[in-house]
Amino acid sequence: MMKKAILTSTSDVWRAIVTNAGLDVEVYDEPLVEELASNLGISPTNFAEALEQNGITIETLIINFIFLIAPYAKMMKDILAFFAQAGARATGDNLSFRFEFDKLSENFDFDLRNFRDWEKSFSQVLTTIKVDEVDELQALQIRHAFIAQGITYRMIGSTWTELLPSESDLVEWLERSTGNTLRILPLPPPPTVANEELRSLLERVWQLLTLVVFSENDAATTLTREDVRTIVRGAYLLHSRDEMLLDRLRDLFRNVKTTDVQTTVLIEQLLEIFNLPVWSRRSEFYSVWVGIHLMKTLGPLVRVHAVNRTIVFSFGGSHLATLRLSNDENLHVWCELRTKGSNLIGKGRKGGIQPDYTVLREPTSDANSAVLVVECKQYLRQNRQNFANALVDYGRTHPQAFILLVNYGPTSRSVLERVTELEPALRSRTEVIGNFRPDSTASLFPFARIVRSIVPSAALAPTPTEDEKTTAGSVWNIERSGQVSLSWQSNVDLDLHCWVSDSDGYREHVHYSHVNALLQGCEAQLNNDVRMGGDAEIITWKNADSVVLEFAVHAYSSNAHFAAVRPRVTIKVGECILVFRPPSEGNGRWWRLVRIDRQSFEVFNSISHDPPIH
Amino acid sequence: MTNDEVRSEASRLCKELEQTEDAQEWKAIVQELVPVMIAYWDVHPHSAMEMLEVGTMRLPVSLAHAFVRQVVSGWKQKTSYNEDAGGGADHCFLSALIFSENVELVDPGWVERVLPYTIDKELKYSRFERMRDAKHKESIVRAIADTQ
Repeated sequence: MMKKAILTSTSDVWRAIVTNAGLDVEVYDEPLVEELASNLGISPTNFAEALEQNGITIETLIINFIFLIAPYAKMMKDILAFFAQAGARATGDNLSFRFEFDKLSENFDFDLRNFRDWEKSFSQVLTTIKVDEVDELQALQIRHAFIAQGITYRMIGSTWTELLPSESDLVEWLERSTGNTLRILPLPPPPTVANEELRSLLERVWQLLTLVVFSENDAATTLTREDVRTIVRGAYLLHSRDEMLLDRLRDLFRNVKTTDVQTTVLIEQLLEIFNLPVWSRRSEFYSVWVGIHLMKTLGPLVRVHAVNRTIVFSFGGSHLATLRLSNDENLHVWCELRTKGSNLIGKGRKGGIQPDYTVLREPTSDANSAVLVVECKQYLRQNRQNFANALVDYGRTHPQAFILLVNYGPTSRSVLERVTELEPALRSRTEVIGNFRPDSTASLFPFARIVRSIVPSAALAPTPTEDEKTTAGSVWNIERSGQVSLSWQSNVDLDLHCWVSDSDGYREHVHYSHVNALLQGCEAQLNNDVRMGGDAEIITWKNADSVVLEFAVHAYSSNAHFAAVRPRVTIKVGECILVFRPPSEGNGRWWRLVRIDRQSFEVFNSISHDPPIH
Repeated sequence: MTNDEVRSEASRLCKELEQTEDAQEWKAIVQELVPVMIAYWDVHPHSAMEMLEVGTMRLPVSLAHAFVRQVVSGWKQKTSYNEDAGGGADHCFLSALIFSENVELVDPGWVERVLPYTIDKELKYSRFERMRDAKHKESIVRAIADTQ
């Protein structure tokens, strides 16, 4: 137990966390300590001592630790949501699932209550965290501390140009951390500065940013995620001007009230989390979460198999789900399917392979039936040899399958280079995706692209059966396909735009420079970029089961005023035909049309300066 | 508030900004001024843009940044928002954005159109002496002018 008596120093608290959380800091959890050390800007060697030597407070340590394990909380939330939905479809709320390993003693069962307990506990601990009490003006003033003409931005002619730091890692983070992606990409550490006071002030800024990144939406905080990018970029550009930055931040934080974080409450709540059965099984749940993500990506028609109200993930192999295809065939999703193989190079792999997930066509007994293999790794540091060997062994054993390896931590192209060295022919059907975590759009998106390219939406059953309609509980009152056409006669350039979004936050934008989109099985396509009027620009879509479509027209030519050009938009959905003309009121170059989802058809017909979706 | 009350309240608060040298008071005034300025858009966008420039001139850049960002964010949420809605006061709006280092908040095409005579105005009728944080603001304007 963590006792109040020992909580007098940061190193003691760390040792207590290690004991109570059951961390294996020497081997299994070593990368986790490295990531924590990196976030704190200290050395992972002799971590407990390094905490003291660098003046890391108990509050800072606990808050950073909580944020480090936050992706696990999101995973559990996803798992809970998936099983709750599957349970509601199948047998009611009390669906459970069972994990079977080699040894009977390691088997364990969970039901939804376990996950709800975890989710509740984690939400509580997140709401307990409080840092500086920064009001809206102060937050924006802090933002401005990281803006400086000629250093962080430059006006070139009339264009505001953001300047980039020289650190390549940071540039990559900036490129990848836009929009929703920012939420999951770990913040880079604050820049290294010699001045102790500035270091401490930057740490306070970073705590504020961390809360923004982890908040559910931008409205919850004054700063947006875009502001986080501005501050991180500015901090790296300005850190060599430490006097200027120090003056600015010192001035701002002088008037910032700091609330004492209730460390005892935080620690008690952390302890509660560590005592939950879900925490002790966190590593196993990563592959469960990957499997659930795979099934979600396959679309809403996946049927998850439950026997006696229990879904079984068995180390000996279990048939998890079936997906009905349009040609009377089925795809089968297996967990831990064992397949005989030869010429295997992976350590400990003798006579056969057993990837985490295998997707097979019928007949499943055929050697060429596997179309997709997904292997999960939970390394915070990639193991090039181990990863490459797995890809090669799986590729050799399943000659028609695409082999996809996902890892919790980062990966590099060196794994695929190694695959090419070992067996060049396999390169075209292998891929590795790093930082594969909840909300990581940068990694979830390529995963979805690969899965959907292998299981093309055209192959999916075109309409659900009556039973499936009832089971899904959806309203089947909006057609799944349709088209929008834009026509005009003047010699100006107008463009038709369509945004296809799903509930996971993925979005595709169909317009003149991106004419095809595929999302959640929905295909949308633009026929042509008409630049002078006369012909029509037409966007067609089909299989819009799980997406929202939003349409707008942009006046690309600056002299194309909608009121003067009088373009015509015709929307055909099923037997319904709607004709739109632009409204006479309103200024701007965007004509917002409609928003269509499975259950509603919302008409805007308004003019504005900004696109409906950025 | 009635339209007249919005006008007079905005003027009163901007006047107060001019009269005090207490940084804490500036902040308290800005907190009062932001909602008034957002409401001012519905009264008369032209005057609202002019008053935004006045407020920005009377604040140090850091606080002006927060002030302008909040006001413009409030304006942008209005269906009537349009950078041309202030008519001939467009250069006032752009000056406020430049002094507060917030130019990226508005449409680049509009900036391209309004920037030349805004910079010309600032250099020709140099008003920096009447501004707070004058040196900083002047350096921002001159750096832009150098790239024109």
